[in-house]
This record gives sequence, structure tokens and C-alpha cells, in this order.
Amino acid sequence: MTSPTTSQLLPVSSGREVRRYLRGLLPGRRWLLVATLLATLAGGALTLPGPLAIGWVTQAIADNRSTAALVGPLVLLSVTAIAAAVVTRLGAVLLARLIVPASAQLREDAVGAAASLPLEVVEAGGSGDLVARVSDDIEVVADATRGALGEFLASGVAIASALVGLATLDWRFAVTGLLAVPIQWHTLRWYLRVSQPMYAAGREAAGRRASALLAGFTALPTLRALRLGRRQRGLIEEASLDALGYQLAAMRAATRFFGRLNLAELVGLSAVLLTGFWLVHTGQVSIGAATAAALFFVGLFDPINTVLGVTDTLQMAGAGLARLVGVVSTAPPAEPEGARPATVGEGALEVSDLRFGYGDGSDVLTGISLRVAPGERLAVVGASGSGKSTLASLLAGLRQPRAGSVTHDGTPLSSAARPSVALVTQETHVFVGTLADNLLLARPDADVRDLVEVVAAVGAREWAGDLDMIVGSGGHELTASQAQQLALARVLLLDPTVVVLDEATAEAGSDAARALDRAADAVVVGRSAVVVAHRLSQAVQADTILVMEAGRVIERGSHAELLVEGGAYAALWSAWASDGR
Amino acid sequence: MPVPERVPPYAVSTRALIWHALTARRRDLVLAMVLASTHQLGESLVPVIVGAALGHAVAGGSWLSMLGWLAVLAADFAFLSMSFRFAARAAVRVEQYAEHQARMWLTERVIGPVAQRGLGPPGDLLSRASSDAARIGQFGEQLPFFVAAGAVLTTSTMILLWISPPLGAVILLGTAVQLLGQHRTAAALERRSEAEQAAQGDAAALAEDLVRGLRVLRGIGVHHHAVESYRRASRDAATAALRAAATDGTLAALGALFGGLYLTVVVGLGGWLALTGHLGLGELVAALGVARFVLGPMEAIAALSAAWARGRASASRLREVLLAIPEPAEPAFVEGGSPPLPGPGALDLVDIPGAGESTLTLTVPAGQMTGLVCVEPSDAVAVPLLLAREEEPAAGSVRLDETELAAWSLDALRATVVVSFHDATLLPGSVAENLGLLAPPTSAVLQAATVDQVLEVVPEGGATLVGDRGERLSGGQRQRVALGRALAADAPVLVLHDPTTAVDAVTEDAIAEGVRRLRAARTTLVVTTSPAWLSRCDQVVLWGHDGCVRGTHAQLLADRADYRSAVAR
Repeated sequence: MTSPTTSQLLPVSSGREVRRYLRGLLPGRRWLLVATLLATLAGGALTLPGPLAIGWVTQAIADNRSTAALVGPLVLLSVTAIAAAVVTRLGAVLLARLIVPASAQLREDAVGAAASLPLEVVEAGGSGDLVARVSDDIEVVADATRGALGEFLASGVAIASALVGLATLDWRFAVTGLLAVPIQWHTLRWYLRVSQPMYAAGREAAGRRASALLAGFTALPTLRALRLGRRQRGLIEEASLDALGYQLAAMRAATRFFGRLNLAELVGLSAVLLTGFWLVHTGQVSIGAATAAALFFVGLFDPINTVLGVTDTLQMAGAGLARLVGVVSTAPPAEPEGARPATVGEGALEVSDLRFGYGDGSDVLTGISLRVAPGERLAVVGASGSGKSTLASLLAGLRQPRAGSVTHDGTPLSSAARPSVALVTQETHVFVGTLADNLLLARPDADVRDLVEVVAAVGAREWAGDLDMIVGSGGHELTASQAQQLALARVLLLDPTVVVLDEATAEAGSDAARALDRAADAVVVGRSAVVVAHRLSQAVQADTILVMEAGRVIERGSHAELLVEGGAYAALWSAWASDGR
Repeated sequence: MPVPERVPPYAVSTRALIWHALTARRRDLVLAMVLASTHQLGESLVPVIVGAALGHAVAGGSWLSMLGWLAVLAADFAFLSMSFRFAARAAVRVEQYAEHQARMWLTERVIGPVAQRGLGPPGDLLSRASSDAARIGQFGEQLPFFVAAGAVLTTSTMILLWISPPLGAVILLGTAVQLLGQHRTAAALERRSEAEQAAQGDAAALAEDLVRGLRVLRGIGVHHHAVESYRRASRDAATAALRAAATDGTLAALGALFGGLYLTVVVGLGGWLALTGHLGLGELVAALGVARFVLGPMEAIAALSAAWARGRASASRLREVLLAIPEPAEPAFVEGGSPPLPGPGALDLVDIPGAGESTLTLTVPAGQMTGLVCVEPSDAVAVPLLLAREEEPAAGSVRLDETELAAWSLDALRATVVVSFHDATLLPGSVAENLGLLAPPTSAVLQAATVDQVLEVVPEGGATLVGDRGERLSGGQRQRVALGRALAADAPVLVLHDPTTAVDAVTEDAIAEGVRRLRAARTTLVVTTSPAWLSRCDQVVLWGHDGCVRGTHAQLLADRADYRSAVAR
């Protein structure tokens, strides 16, 4: 299936990157790993006494011994049962302690990395795919590793010890049993080759399914109002069935794999039986030993199938892991704590000869230079699509220019280390949580008085009196202008030296807009400001107005100067002013 | 949880939900159970054949007869291998279709035509539609093998009863003791599993929310604070997962304990019987082989309670969503088109309460463009929601062509009255796909919404992808595409709310004029305070603090100070 959602997916890691990341998780978990290994080793060793005890009992009967001969084997068996229970519990807990926090760290790393990915990458990849990775994929990885890794280790131990057991009975049993190995080896290599791409495609399909689900869940009122729910339901069903198809195909391959393993078992078991037959026949081993050997070998089936089957699960986990590590390793190196300058720059925001385009498209901004001195207010106006918002995002360091530079206080802006420029656009987002949570995002150490103060400063006291009100998706719905007031309050709390307001007060007409204007004024006061506005009343008060057209600055000056000039700005102004009356 | 009166059969209980999901592929379920059992039968015959072959060897059988036994063994392997192959395939179909079914139930509820309240954030819903649905499926996948394990226990018991009645009795007793012993642990696992799923859901919700709000966070450079919140949620989820894992471990330990003790008893009893001459050596070897083989099924019983506990926990989380929403007043996604429009397309709103003291009374005459100016911004949001039946009026009445909205089928109503919200969301896909969602847009529509200009500017024209919710377009472009999408439907009644807040004055003017001309003979209601729109309306209604006033833009500007203040910029 092809999905219209994404043109290019977020990166997927190679096996080497995944291994490197996993090695990075190891330090600090080494003892836990050792303890887990020991517990599983013990668990594996505890599968041995069973057949041994049975062998003794059989031999005792063959030798016509007294019932006292049973005491030893029975004590051994009951002690083993209790020990196995203890070790099972311990192993499960240790394994969970090993895997669960590590997978939590992986998803945290992935979210952290995603949050600092270049916006273009997230936008091109689709946020649905990203969310799928940190929820669906991580779960597959955690479940698979937790379930499978434990079994894998335990079974590996069981196999090794059963082989040793076989050998101690008579080395020839072990040797003949090994006849199964070449078949198993060949089968495994065939299967890994076949299933790897299948699982990778399956995880990708699950990502598309998550995107389709999220597209529906985040567009709710619109879907209903425009009767698009049925269509979206169809898309979700299609994506879900598509992902399902990969699972069925993977199982078809897996059962072929297990079929071939059965063949290996048959060959091995026949060989052991023939050996036993021969050895007993020629009087070289007792019937007890031959019985124990055959039972050992039958007992090998389950652990061997488990080990090989686990490679299947790990294969699936690997596909998920590659998607997660892909996000982690695309992100710019994490910014160490305290890398942000302690003192806030007070200098000018300067742009020189800026050129920018999206992806590999043509330039949408060319030859832009500007300077905003401390405390100055610059307005940017122009028709929709003239590149104002793009310029705003560059000023805030959200995107990187193709050529030219953006500096604040002489330091180049980059998304990794942004000193003190805050951008508020018309795009609002109310985060799930309380109003206080929403504000504290800006400054987690702020106290309640700070919060109350900024709420008052943006004129939101009337509706935002209860800071514990739950807002965001699923909570109390805020109007567009309330959400914007919240965003402005956040900026006040953050207290940057430069603010860039991109149509930040456009989302409502009328009274609400004027209330927003007042809130914006509160934010602008005492700071350098760049205000992108089509509501020209905001431009009037600016020290300088830039008029943009098709990605260039075509006029520059104060309101009065530009009116006198009689150019593009004057035309915009007359359209604006005439409308009002 | 109180159960609404009309619940679909699958939402009656968690058990019903799991059962209905599993029986989405009834034939596969039966097939998997039968084949998994025959596979187990084949497996349990292996030690019997081995014992027989070796006993034969002791008795001094020939090489030829040994080869005969090996042929029997090969036949048994072919049988068990094929049984497993088709059992596993059928079981995975049960799993996948059960998961798919559960996911679609949730999807239909969430995005169905009836508006619901109290749903969790999208990330939480996603986690229920993925992770919880998957856990129900996983139980379905394992069930046939549990049934087979049960079959093995039964068969083994019978074989042992045949070899030695006391040994057979031990199995019966052991199974009963085990089931009783792990009952409480399984109940604890169900609780902890639900807590684990809830915490995972919270973390997923935060992650989704963070990603959706990423541009806002990045704009002010505080994304690392949001990542910190996520980190905390993720740690909580990890703690909950560890708790569930510990209980899981206890269940597995109980399985190991009961299995081991059971083996001890069988070996002791069997050995004693053999030593005292009540049982032959060959019988004992076979009996012990069977007994050892029963250990797997005994552990499977422990795993069954674990899978069932997890399945129930997840089913309960799905049910929360299915029951949070009232059963639709009409079947979801009625097939077939909407009935032809009976009337001319006139709206009447009478005495609708708002945020303030005054109520709204508004007549939108057919074939005209009406402007509505709300002094209270929250009222401007509420009116389109009422007309889309996202919300029901607290009092008063809303009629379309003399018929109460509630009496219309949702589908027919929404086909007649197209409401384009202020925050109308674009869907993933290209600009052209979005424009054509309701009907292929004519060039007149593209011109009216000035989408033609958007198509010229965006990098790949109509093929330009808009992103998951339109975030790859600018705000103004997004609004124009949303407007174009609504206009393309050429609906008898169109309701717009502040459709051009993100475009410049010149473009806004052009759009208002274009829409006016395009919808010359159609009913249009524009909820806005923009003079560009209001000045082109046939009539404007002002919903002020003291009630509603009707007039033209010019009249109201002249007469009403509150109107001047509402529309001034």
C-alpha cells in the first residue's frame, strides 16, 4: 500500500548503529546482566536433575534394588522443583529490571532526539510515524526482548547442559545427536535472510497504521462535520489490514522454518535411537543409559526450537529497534546541561544576505538583511505567501539558512543552542495537563506567584483563575484566543530578550484580537521584537516596517515614510483602512 | 462501570469483548484448536514410540524391526509438523483479525458520526487501538495452544490411568491444585497489567502531544522541558511494567513449582510401584516419559492465566472508550447517499443561550449570505458546533427548513449543511487530495478561495504534501485550502467561522468577494467580525449583550457602538 501521509520516512538505522547504541546502554547495567545470566544459567542447570533422577530410578528397577533407592532421586527432584520456582521468579524480575528501564531509556532518548530533530525532518517524516516509533515499536522491542531473551538464555543453557548430559552417558550419543545441527544451521540462515525484510516492512506498515489512526483521532470535529469519518475509517481499515498481511506472511515463513527444524529433530532422534539400539545390542551401554539419552534428546527439542524461534522474535524486535535508533542517531548531539549561555545576550539581532528554501526546492527567501537593535520593534508585512513566516522561523533559529547568517549579540543562532529568541506563531497548541503544566513548560522552577502574575499580564485572569484546570486534548477546550494568551504568558515566564510574533494575534477578530494585542504588547515591552502582521494596526507602532514580496524585501521604513512613498505598503494600508468603515 | 442502555453485544463485558473479537474468525479458531491438539498428540506419541523402540531393543529385536519403529517415528513427525504448521497459521489469523476487529470497534466509535465527550488525548486512544488491541489478539493466538495443552493433560491422564491408575490420579490432583494456587496471583496480574497499560497510554499520549506541539515548543526553545515531562511519564510506565513483570514472574514460578513437585510425586509413586512389582519396567519408562511431557502443559496453564489476565485488562481499557460514548442514535456510517434536499435551505435559531445573559435568535434566509457577529468570542465558537451537531443546545431550538436539527439524520443534515470550523483540519495527503475530499473543485471554487494562488506558490503545485494536519503549509494557505474544500461541496447551506484570519487584507477582500459571487443563490452563514466579509453580507446579525439586532453592515456600523467596537481593528 502506498500512503499519502509521508513522502519520505524518518531514517531507519543499520545493524551497526543499533549495536553501537545497545553497547551504550550496557554501562551501569553490567552487574544486572551478569546476575540475570547467572539466574538463567541456574534455571537451565535445573532442567538436568529431572532426567538424571529418572535414569537412576530406571536403573534401580532394572537392578532390582530396594525402595530405599528412591530416596535420593526424590529428594533431588523436590529440591529441584523448589529451586526452579525461586530461580524462575528471580530470573523474571532480574530480566525485567534489565530490559524495562533500558527500553524506557530508549524511548526517552528517541523522544528527546525527535524533539530536537530539524523540523523539516519531522514534517517530512510525518509525526504519526514518529509517535508510532516511540509507542508501538518500543513495545514490540520491550516485549520481545523481555519474553524472548529470557527464554533464549535459559534454552541455550538447557541445550548445552543436555548435550553435556548426553556426552556423559556415552560420547557417541552426543556425536550422533549433532547430526541435526547442519540442518538447523542451514535452516536458520535461510530464515534470517527471508524474514528480515519482511519484519522491516511489517514495522513500517504498523507505522502507517498509527499515522492513519492519529490522522483520524486528531481531526475529529472536522471529520464528522464534513462526513469524512467513513473515508478515514476506510483508510484505517486498509492500513490495519495491510499491517496484518505482513504478520500473516511472516507467520507463513516462520512455520516453514519450524517445519524444517522438525526434520532436523527427526534425523537427530533417529540417529540417537539407532546408536542406542546398537550400543545396547552390543552390550556397551545399559538400557537405562539409552533411555536417558533418548529422553535427553527429546528434551532438547523444546529449548532448541525456543532458541531458534527466539531469533525470529529478536528479528522482529530488531526491525523496531532500527526504527527507534534511527531517530536517536539522526538528532544533533545532545546539548549538555548548562550549555546555554548563563547571561542573556543583550545585543542586536542581525540578519545578513539570507537565502533559504525548503528541502531541495527553490529559494523562498533571497537577499534578506535586517537589524533589530535592543529594544527596537520591527514589523514585517506583505501578502500571504511572501515568506514572512519563513523569515520569522529563521529569526528564531528554527530553520537553518542556505546562505547568509542570523546572529544575536554576535552569536550565530542554531537550533541546538538558542540563547534568547522566542517565537510565537498563530499556530497554537495546548498541551495535555493543567494550565500550570502548560505554563511551567517555559520555566519549570517558576512558583505559583510567577504563574498568577503572567496570567494577569496577558489579561487571562478571568478564565484562567484555576491553574489546576485540565486542558488540552480530552480536557477543557480553550478558544483560539485563549490558547494564544497562554502561549504569550509562556513567553513572559520565559523572559527572552528578543520576541518574534508571527501573526500571533491574528486568530480572532474583534474584541478578542484587541485583548490579544494588549497581551502581545505586554510581551513586547522592554524587548527587541519582530512582529509579523497582516493586521496593519500592529505595524503602525513599529520603529521600522519591512514590506516583503516573493521572498524579498521590497520596502523598508517607518509607517509615515512608507505612506509618503506611495508603494506597496501604501496600497496594503488603503485596503486595510477602507475595510474597517 | 455503569452500562448505557444500548450497548453492542461485544461491549457488554470484557469477557464478551474478548470472545467476540476472537470469534471474528471462528473457523480459524476451531481449526487452530484442533490442529494444535493433534500436534500435541503427535508430540506426546514421541516418547511413547521411543520407549517402545528401546524396550524392543532390550528384548533383542532385529535391525529391520528397529527401522520399522523409525518409520513409525517419521510418520509421527510428519503428522505433528504439519499439524503445527497449519495450527500456527490459523492461530495467527485469529490473533491478527481479533486485534484488527478490536481496533476497528474503537475506531468506529471514536470517528463515527456522533460527537462524543470525555475521550482521552489522541495518543492515549492510539495506545488503546494498538497495544491493547494487540494484547487481546495475543490471547487469541495463544488460546488454541492452551486448549491443546488441556487436551494433552487429558490424554496423558488417560494414558497414565491406563498404565497405572494411581499415576493418572496424580495428574488430575496436580492440575486442580495448580489452578487454585495461581488464582489470586492471576487476579493481581490483571490489576497490575491494567495499571501498566494505563501508564503506557499516558506516556504515549504525552509523546504524541509533544510531537504535535513541537513547533510551539521549539519556537520558544523549551522542548527539553517537555522531554523531561515525558521522561517522568516514561519512568512511571516503566515502574508499572516492572510491577506487572514481577507478578508475571510469580505466576511462572508457581508453574515451575507445581510442575516440579508433580514430577517428584509421579517418579516416587511410579518407582515404588515398579520396585514393589506392580508396574513393569517398560510401562514405567513410558509413564515417566509421559509425565515429563506433561510439564510443558502444566506451565502452559500458568501462562494461560497470565495471558487471560493481560487480555482482560486490555479489553477493559477498550471498553472504557466503547462505553464512554453513547451508542449512536443511528447506525454508524449508514450506507447510501443522503436524501435529496427537501427544502430551500433556511436556518432558524431561536432563543439559544450563550456565554452571557442574552440569547441568540437568528434567521438565515435561503439563498442569502448572512453575517453573525458575536460579542462573546466563545459564542462564535459555539454556533458552528451547534449547527454541525457537535453540541446540543442547552435550550431553544435550531431548525433547518422548519425541521429540528435533531430530527434530521446526521448524514443528511451534514450533506445539506456543511460547517467549516475555524480550526478546520487538513488531512494527510496532497493539496489536491484535500481540495477534492468532498467534491472535485471547479476552477470557480479555486478562484473564489484564491487557492489558485496557493497552487502557484507551493513547491509541487497540487501534488504538494500538506503534512499530517496541514503543517507544511502556511497558516493562510491552510485556511484557503480548507475553505476551497468546503466550497467545492457546493452545499445548499454553508457555515463558515472566521475563514480568513491568517490571510492579508487584500487577499481577504478578494476571497470574501469571490465567495459571495460563487454562492450567489445559496445559503451562507459567516460567523466573523471581519468587515471584509460583513460588508458583503445581505444581512448581518449582531449578538450583543442585550440581545440580537439585525441590519446591514453599514446600518449597524452607524447605529451600534458595540458593533463598531466588535468589528473595528
